[in-house]
Amino acid sequence: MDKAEDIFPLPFVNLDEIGSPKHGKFLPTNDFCQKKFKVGGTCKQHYESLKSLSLKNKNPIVECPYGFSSLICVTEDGNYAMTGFIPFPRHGSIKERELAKRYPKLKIDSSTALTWAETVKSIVRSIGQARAKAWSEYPSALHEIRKYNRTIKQQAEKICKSQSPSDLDQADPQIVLILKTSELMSQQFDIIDLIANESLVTLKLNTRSELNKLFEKCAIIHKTLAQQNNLILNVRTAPVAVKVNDKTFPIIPTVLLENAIKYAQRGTEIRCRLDRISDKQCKIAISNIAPMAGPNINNIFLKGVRASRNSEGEGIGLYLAQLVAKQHASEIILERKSIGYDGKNELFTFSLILDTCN
Amino acid sequence: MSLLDIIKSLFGGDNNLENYSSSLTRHDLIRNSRVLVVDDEKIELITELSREGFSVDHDPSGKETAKIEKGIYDLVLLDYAGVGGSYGSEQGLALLRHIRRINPAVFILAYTSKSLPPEHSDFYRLTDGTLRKDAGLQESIEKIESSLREALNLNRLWNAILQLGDIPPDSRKESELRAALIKSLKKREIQNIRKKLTEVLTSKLTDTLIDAILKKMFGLLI
Repeated sequence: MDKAEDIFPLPFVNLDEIGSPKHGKFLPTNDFCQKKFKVGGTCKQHYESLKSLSLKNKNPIVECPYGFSSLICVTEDGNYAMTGFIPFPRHGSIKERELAKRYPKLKIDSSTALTWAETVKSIVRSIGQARAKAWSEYPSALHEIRKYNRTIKQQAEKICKSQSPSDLDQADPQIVLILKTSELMSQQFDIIDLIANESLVTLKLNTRSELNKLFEKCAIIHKTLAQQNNLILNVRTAPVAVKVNDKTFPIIPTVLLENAIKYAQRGTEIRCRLDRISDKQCKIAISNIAPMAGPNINNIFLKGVRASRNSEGEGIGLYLAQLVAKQHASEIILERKSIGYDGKNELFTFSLILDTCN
Repeated sequence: MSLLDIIKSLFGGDNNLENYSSSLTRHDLIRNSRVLVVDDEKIELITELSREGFSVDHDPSGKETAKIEKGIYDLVLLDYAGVGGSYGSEQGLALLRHIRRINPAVFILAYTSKSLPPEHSDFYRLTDGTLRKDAGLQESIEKIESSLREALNLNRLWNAILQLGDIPPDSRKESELRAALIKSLKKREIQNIRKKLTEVLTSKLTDTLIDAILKKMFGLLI
């Protein structure tokens, strides 16, 4: 079980991303609700009003303008409404009475519906706790895997070096791929380290890092991944040195680049820029073209928020990257610009400004 | 005194120890430095460092701290798990605390594959940097080289001496000692500053280490 959406017994709507009701585990969405949602904005308005009620953390059963009822269910995974049922005792409207005759199987005892809502909340809470426990314990289990990864990487590196001493990228492509994949794994381990111990973002800045080299290396590692997704990685860096914490800082380019690749529209270009903007500052900017974002995008730096519910991930990368940016007295900013005539895509740019030390 | 020296002294530049050292070539860096790897397994990197010409020793348990105390090493690559057990249950962290006490000059890189819980974050806080345990060989060597450059820095070495002598930086005492050091550096006479420091420092325990640090400092002169 992954999220609240997998366990609702009744049809439900995500109040944070309002859409047509989805099937519940016990009851599918009825044809009436499906049709009505598509015409006009009445249903949407109804769910919007529930959303504002949900912020008050109440759990009322509210009748919709067509006579069905919805029950607000505020979970740790988001705000939802179980919907498309007729409660008992009823609200008493004529429309409700008519629907009750037409859909006798959708009559639910109110106390039962409330119990179900509480059960969903409880399960979601338990899943959250289990996840948190897993996050705290399994990083230590990765200890051995990280060592194996070292063996793989160093052996691949040796083979590449023996084949092409001056440019490892020109060695056997299969071995180069192993080397890069191993490097990607290292970067994932670094992220897991930070998940297991967020206090690492309080470490002092200890190293002078040549940011352009760090970025170029990160781009080389991700190049294959981008190519596999039919994306062009366009990297341009100026020579810049910055004081960083060597444990945490590399997470920023990793997360930004990975996200750019994950969400980008296939066949487009991802731009990575590192520019000196003054004597004392430089700017990192990573842009991609991706489908229009949902409302979650406004909270994208919060823990557990994903740009799209259809994407993989725990919604933790950007949250951590922002913590690391703040550790470096900076802040990652997201800028969006709609592009094209169809309005289906946007240009997303994640950027941050850092003080230089050269 | 050259015109440059006069300008430097007028603007206080004369007090900056950086003015007395040059950037080491890779060859000199390798020749002048010693690395200790404290790890319960004999890692490939040790062989690779030796192949590159570095003077590198391996301590599989963390028991060989006597040489660290004498200031033999410039850089310690320190594992967390499986080492330092004799210093406490916190293994590498307990050993790290011990090394920091006996030699504040040595540059220490955290080198662990473990995800450490928040209560052990000091392992990163008390070290000077981090080398990922699954880093590639080239990346590891580059990190060690850049760390050695930081380790063999006159200001860093001087601050370690001050720490050993409990002398607050920017204090009057420090100012006097720094003036004596600079005079010695200019004349390349290690004895003068050594004598001055012996008058100030009471602990014989630190004599050998201070001597070793001073030798490193004089070895870095332009």
